[in-house]
Amino acid sequence: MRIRFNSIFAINFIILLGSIPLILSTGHNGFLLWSFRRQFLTLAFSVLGVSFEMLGGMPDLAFSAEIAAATCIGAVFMKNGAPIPFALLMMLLMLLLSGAVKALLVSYVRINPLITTFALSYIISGIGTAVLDDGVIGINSMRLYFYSGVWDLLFILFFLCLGFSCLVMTKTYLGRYVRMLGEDESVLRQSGMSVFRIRLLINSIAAVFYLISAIIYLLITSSGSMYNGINSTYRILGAVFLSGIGFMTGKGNLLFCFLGTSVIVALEIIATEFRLPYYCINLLMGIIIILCCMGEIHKNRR
Amino acid sequence: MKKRLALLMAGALLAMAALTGCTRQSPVEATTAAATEAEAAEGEAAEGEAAPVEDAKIGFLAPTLQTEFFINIDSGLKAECDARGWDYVAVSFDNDSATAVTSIENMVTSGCNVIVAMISDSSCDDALAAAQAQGVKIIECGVQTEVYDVCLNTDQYATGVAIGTMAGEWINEQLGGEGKVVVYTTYQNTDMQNRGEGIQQGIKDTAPDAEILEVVDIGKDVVGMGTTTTETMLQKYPDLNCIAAYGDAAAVESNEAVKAAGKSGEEFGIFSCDGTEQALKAIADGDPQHGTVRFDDLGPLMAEYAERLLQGETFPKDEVISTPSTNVTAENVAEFYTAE
Repeated sequence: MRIRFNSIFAINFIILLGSIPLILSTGHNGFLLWSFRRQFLTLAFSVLGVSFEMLGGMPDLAFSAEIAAATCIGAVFMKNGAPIPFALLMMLLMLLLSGAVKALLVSYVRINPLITTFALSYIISGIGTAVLDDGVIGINSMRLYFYSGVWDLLFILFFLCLGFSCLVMTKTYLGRYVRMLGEDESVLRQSGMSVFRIRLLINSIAAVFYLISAIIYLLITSSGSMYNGINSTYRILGAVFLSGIGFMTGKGNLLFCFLGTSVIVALEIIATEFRLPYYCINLLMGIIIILCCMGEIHKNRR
Repeated sequence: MKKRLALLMAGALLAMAALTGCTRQSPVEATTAAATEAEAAEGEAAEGEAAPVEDAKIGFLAPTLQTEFFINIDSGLKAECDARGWDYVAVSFDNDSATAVTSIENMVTSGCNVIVAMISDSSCDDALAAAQAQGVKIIECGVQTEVYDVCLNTDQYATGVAIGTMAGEWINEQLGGEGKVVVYTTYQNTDMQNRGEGIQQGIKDTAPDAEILEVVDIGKDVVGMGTTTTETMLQKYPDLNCIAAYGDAAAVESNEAVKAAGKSGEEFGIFSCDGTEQALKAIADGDPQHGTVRFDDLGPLMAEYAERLLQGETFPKDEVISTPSTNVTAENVAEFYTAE
């Protein structure tokens, strides 16, 4: 079977268009659309962050642990009476620090990014678990926002972030350097550019997206926990690949993050509707990732 | 051309999502009226004879579906639903509250009439409240939060005391009271913390001369942790002779690890809770596992209360339905386990 790169988008549209009538036939349409948007937003910012890093040649396996750790830090501060903005600032600092460590290890020490982020995910999980004596910290201050207009704001914010990211990638020198870094890091080094600074910038932008993801997890669970979002890792990676982001090739268009994320959310809803075993989604994510990578390799050979 | 087409279609989907997803009203506000009408209709039906519910869909939300305890509940509840002609869906949230929230929402949209939620804490309360607003009944099992229509729970502290008491009695009988004990617990939710504290109190009350060497957090239903932790404890405390665990999943693994270390059932005791087949077999075989607290089958109990909720019955908010349990040791294991 020949798999063309652009067939990934066709697969996306077919799944989405096929799933819409199936999903709408379940009824509860008002709640369904609210839930679809809520699930979409829960994944979308992480997808954007991972996609940005992936375009820069750094596949990130630590993002779930980083986001969960950020929720832990936010919960600890809020539980102890800190104002929400201060807690969010602490969360951002933690994410920026993590991003800086990743940039340092990959750019200066030259450790493979997969290994770096894989090991970091365990380190961060360990530190986060140590911070939480009680395992989960509940925070009532976030519960107020679950049914407020915050989801409308987040929806608008996502597309602002998407637009900003696309602008950066297409209209700025940073975007060109990101793609150069993703395609061939040695070329960028030879040109005299600081790889560390570019990676730091990439990771800093991604950290902002991860912060928003962490805020969303705090919103929907009203708690901080190292398990927050841990099961979404492969879903997010599946969405990244479905969005057409190449694996360490610097190729892809951030605009389609919206598409990949929507497909993943639709598949989850359908899986529950049709009583597919819970492990089917993980199975599907693995298959999607492999097929997308095969498509990318096939395209590069042509 | 293809790129433009792709961008055009992406834009169309984006516009569709913007128009349909951006609602001014939350789903709670928009459907509360519908839920109130449904409740009124159910109340009228409840005043008459309770007709059997023929068409329903039950959703079961479990922290894991990889341990025997939850697999048994899943199987039992599925069998009850099949017998009643109901639809059934089971989802594992793997201790991730965000996944639990998503699963609850997906169960609502897939048409579940009752959600049986074996969640760990109150982090899913908002999602459960949204489900209730959609007219879905909520049965909480194993934990009591603020949002439920009926709660099936156990006094976890008393369950822990029962485990600790069994362990203490065995220490007194077999070891002359000179027990060296490690307690396996988890701090991931308050109920399991209470159970762990009950275990320690039960041991202290029954065998005051026994020494609790360490209280270990082995996580909640993490497969493999019992084996790893027990091997570590056996190395760390060479004179360890008793393990009291909060659940059979860890106890069964500990049983195998202890046997692999060459210790027999006469010199080592393991006690826990859940009453799984593996634990009962170990007790019947004379393994180091000597006791477990077995709950009555939860699947039929859940199905019974689901039917009562669907028939319109309501339960007082503070009323918690206790799940009956039995201490199983070598003396009575034959009542619950038959060797194949």
